[in-house]
Amino acid sequence: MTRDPLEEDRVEPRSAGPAAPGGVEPPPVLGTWPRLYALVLAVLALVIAFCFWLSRLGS
Amino acid sequence: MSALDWTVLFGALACFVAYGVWRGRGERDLTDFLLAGRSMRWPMVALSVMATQASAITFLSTPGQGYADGLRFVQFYFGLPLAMVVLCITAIPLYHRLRVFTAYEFLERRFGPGTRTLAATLFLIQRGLAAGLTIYAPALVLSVILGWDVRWTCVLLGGLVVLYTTSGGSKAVSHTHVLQFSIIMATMVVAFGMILAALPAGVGMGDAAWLAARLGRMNALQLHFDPNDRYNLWSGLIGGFFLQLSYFGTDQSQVGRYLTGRSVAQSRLGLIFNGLVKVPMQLGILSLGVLVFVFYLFVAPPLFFNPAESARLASGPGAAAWQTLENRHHAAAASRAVHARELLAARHRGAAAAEEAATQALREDQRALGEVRQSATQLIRAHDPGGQTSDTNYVFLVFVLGHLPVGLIGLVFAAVFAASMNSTSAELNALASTTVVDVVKRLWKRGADGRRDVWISRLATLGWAAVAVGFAETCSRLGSLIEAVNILGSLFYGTILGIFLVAFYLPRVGGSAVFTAALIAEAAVIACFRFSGLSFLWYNLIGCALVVLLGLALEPVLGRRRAAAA
Repeated sequence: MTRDPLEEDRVEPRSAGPAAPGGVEPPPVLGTWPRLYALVLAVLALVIAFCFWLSRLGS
Repeated sequence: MSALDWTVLFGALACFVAYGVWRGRGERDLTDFLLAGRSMRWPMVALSVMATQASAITFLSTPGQGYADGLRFVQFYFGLPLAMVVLCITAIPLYHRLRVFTAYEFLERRFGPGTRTLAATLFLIQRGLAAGLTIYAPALVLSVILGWDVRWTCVLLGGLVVLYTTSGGSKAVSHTHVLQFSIIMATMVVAFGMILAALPAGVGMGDAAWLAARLGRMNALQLHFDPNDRYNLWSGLIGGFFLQLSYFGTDQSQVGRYLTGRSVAQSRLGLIFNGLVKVPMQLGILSLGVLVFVFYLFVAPPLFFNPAESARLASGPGAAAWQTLENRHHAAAASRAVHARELLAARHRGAAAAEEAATQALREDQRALGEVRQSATQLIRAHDPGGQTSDTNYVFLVFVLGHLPVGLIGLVFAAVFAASMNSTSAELNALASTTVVDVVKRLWKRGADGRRDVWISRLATLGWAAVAVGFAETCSRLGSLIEAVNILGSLFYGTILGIFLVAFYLPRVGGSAVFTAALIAEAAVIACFRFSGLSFLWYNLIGCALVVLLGLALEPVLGRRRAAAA
């Protein structure tokens, strides 16, 4: 197998952030990634509910 | 504009360029130039991702859409937070682990060089043209408003971006994104406050929203399902999800932004922030347009917001007919102002019957104004079949010039320039990345030489800037420009997304099957665009689904042939 010429350019980041052993570092809030994803979905649900309220305004 | 406004505008432009050149110095190799050394923290990633998506078109067309069509355009973005979550779980860890420069590198490892080349080519075509639109859209509006030549405005916009994108690469792009996006947001907030302050005494935010709702401008959510309706909850959640998934997951102008993150977590947090903030931000910008609409309930708006077209009609052979329309328009606008005040007074008194009567009268005035505007656009078309009959993109800047204070006008114009520079710089950087990594370095295998590669990337950036400005010079009459950009994207995104979904989730489908499926899917999407009235958001779903289903169907045939050949 030929070597990908791009591999020759790969360099390690000069300031790699800390990573948890064996995985991705946890988020700075809520402790775990699934909880953060749930927050995003909850905010979307709230925004849609707000849009529903706006649509009913003045009727 | 006053001398102070011109000073603010050109001072800001000079600052943007100087800051970009300064922050982008010291590139040593491709990782520095194309991915800012993979060193960015999440706030930088987040603002850069948001700045890339929010072009000048966003800040010109979106308030115009709010003015003309209410809040319904916000539904277009409902799929975005869902897409951010999916990408955080799937694409970001994968791209980081493979340490790719572009999303398309991953496709070669999975399917072989053909599919990588196909996806990179679709991206280069789509994004190369879109970069032209990104320059042309604000250039057209700014040239009309400021009285500049549109061609030179395109050259100025492209030239300013090239100065720091070519010298500083991705690092310059990310740093200027943060500066420019912060100024844009601050300007929008101040403009919002100034419009509120410009409303008649006694008319507050609550009254403004209520009045707008009475005239159908608070239609932020439409629950009915209609595949031919561009913006409703379902097209936004489903079609919008696929569009955003494709845009953020496979379009190098966005992938290149979050790959600048120093770790998986930093890239993820950047996208999560975007998922949290984007929809409320778009709602805010649309509300700006709705607020301008309410302002013009009390002050007569121009008959047509494009000042160049208005002036042409007012001084040409159709001047008499135009004057008649102007008179009808002002009479209807004056009547509307009276009824808007009556409606508010009835509301404050709690007089339900008077409220209903004033609402009916107001709607009648609105209908009359709509008829006069329709006659105006027919007159424009009659005197110039190629004339611009859509003035949505001019609404906000015409309001700004006429009603905001000196100094702030210059700042708003600087913000529009900044927004254009934001998205154009990310596009040029992505086009250069894909050209160098997916084309040049594969064809010209000369080993690593950091300085040489950086110079090739600079030349690629310059070349794509020339293509974008060249295409911008040929664009014209595209209606609502934000829709034109999204339609163009939707023609290609579904197919590219389908290729990536097969790559991620269907390991038994090989390169030949997915390559053939992608070609058929792209032809089908173009046929839908050409021959059906289907809303463009659904193209993303169709293209994606066809690649996945055809890939699965073709694999038994093409995969067996491949195995036999091996």
